[in-house]
Amino acid sequence: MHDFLLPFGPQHPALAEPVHIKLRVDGETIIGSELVLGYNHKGIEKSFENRTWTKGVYLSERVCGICGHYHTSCYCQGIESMLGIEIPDRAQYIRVVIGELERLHSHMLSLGIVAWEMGFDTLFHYMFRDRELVMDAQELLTGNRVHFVMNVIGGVRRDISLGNAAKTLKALDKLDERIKHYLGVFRDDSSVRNRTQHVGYLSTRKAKELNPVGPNVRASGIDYDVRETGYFAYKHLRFKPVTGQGGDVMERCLLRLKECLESSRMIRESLYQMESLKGSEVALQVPPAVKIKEGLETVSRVEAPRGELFYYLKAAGEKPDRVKIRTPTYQTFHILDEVLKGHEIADVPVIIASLDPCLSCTDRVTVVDTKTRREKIMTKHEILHMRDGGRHGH
Amino acid sequence: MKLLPEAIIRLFSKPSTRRYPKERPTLPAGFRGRVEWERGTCIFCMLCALNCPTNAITINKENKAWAIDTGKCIFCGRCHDVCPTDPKSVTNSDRYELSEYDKSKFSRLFGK
Amino acid sequence: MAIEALTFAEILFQALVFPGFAAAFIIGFFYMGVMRKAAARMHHRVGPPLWQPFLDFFKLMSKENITTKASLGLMATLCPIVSFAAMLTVIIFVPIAGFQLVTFPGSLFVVIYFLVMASAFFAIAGFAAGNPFASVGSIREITQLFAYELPFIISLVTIGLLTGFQIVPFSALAFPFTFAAFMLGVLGKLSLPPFHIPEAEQEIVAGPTTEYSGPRLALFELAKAAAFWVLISLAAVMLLGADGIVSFALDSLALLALLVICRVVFARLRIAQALRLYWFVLAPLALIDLVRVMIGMY
Repeated sequence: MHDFLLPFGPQHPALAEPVHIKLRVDGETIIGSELVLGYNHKGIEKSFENRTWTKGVYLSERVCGICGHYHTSCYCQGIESMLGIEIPDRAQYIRVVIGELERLHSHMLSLGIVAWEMGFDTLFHYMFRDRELVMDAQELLTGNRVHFVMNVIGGVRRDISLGNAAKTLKALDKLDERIKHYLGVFRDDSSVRNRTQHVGYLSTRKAKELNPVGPNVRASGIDYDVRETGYFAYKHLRFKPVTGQGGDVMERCLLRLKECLESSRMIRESLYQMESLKGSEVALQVPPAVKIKEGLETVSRVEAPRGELFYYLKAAGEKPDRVKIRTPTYQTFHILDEVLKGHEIADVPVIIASLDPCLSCTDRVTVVDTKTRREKIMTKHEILHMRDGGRHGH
Repeated sequence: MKLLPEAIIRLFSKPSTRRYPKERPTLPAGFRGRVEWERGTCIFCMLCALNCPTNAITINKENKAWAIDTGKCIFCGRCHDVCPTDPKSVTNSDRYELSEYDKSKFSRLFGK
Repeated sequence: MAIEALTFAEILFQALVFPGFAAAFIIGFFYMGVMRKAAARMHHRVGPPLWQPFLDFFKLMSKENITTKASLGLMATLCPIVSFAAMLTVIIFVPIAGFQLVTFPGSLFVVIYFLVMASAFFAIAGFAAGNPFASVGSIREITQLFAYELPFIISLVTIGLLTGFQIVPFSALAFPFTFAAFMLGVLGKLSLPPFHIPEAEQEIVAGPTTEYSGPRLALFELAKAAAFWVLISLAAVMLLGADGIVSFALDSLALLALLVICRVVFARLRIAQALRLYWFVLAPLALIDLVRVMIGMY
């Protein structure tokens, strides 16, 4: 049997978003793969340069539908550090609550997709039905199921009333029960085990070499989670990253479910701790025309559901000079060649889904300055020094 | 096989699908639907038009006319946030059935 | 009832109406509709109406046939027809509540032959399409055929030894392994979970039927309906011993319920896993029953 080229995508029922993976197949076995991105390029980084900082918040939300809140949080965090302001405590808690709700719905979506790729559409439908609990909670708190735009520069836009908090907690109770049930299903159902155990294995050593981020790297035994740095209100919540040792698809799925339970716990704790801050303000009064000193740069990181999200901002007065977004899928997706090697065609959709790619976020284009042909490599120290606009070096 | 008990129970229960348009969803308070304008309280400060991220609002001070292009609107609610009057002149209603056959109908003119 | 004893009108009726073409069309699509509706309800969904497969068929018949340059047009049209015809020919050997066109000792082997032919032409259709996804789907179809035929034939031979290799109402409930091998063979032939491998939507678009559209795809749907009708009827007669109209209807619906449950609770297997399951688990078990019959211990 000689090998042939199987084009996976850009149009494929397994893929929600267009990506082109050229698979070299011999019978059913994959002997090589090549990743071609770029079908989703929207030119967002350029669009930022035409908008003021406040209008840019709405644009950053729309980089991705599933993790929009994290994009705005990261963007606002960067601007706030350049302005040298710290948002009120209540706002920090609210950002965490909305963020963890978004992590819940994103993980449930990802697991439902993994189930569907396995041919198990029953589990897919059940998980999406339970995800609706989270979507309803989001609609209750923010006014919309996706694209909440809760963040403004200086805090959040809306407060969480006691009534809404109580309703959210009730939804979380129901959800916790269901997630524990799904932990049992993913762990024990033989049908699921056949498709996910020992599939798509990424060893700890390879993970250190290839540097994916998010649940994918945590499932290979490396506990890297940006929430450990304690931004927003995470410093007040007892947060520990969830790790696993398995490194295969099953481990990633179980890890995401455990992260859902952890998120639910953190939302409860935030809402509880927020009660003592009742009545305090949720946003600082920031003038609508935000002006930042020209040339100031900063770097902002948050832990999006898929991993570390990284924004580089360079100011030019009222508008940014440059916004560079490094999304987690951009960092993770190149491990595809490693995890697909030696597997069958049947495993490809399951492995891709278990990496939880968000291709809307991913497509960026590098602009090279051809006139000066200058490349600049920044050291870790320089990047860390750029936080807080260079005011307080960490 | 773990899903079998639930599957059998579900077979005899009501489906989770809402039969739209016969059944309609109950929207929470604070739902961000179509933007509406109240002429009586407006002071024509132009803040909503200046702050709209997509420039969907156009105001004509002389004719006291206020128009929003629902096609450009992203339903973010910023116009409502920055409106200084009390009660606010610009609100997010809970109208969400906004399809039209004619694109020009998207531009809604209030006032005159 | 030998074929000479029937009048021409009776033969025509049985071939075209019941249990032939019309029965396959109506009852086969009805089974498919019930399966889709029941599966949807088990998923919390509303699901399509029970007559959706009929609507699909007529809609597809009204569309255009699109042939790509790489495909063999004539083969592509012939394959679903041959597959449907081969599957439907089996029904003349099956006694359905008194209607049986032909039976003779050894008719079971003719049945086995036609069943294999039906699946083989489905696979050939995939190769005729000239699409890498369809080719992979066809390879899987043939591999799966190769896999389930072993335990399936063993179970048929076990029953055949006790019925003179004809198809007569026979209750195989005393032979659970034979029952399991037969029904799992049916699952494989109908491409139902966990063996919905050849048409794996998430992996190879649509498998052998990837490039098919319009009336050709409608013919494939018809072939599928015929498969449902024939295989469920065959199982109702050979495994549950249905001889009257009422018992036949109840047995068929019971088997349909079993198929629906399998449709809902299983994920897909990989082709290698399916092969191992059929050959190294089911086939030895089916052999136990065969040996039991051969040495008279039943």
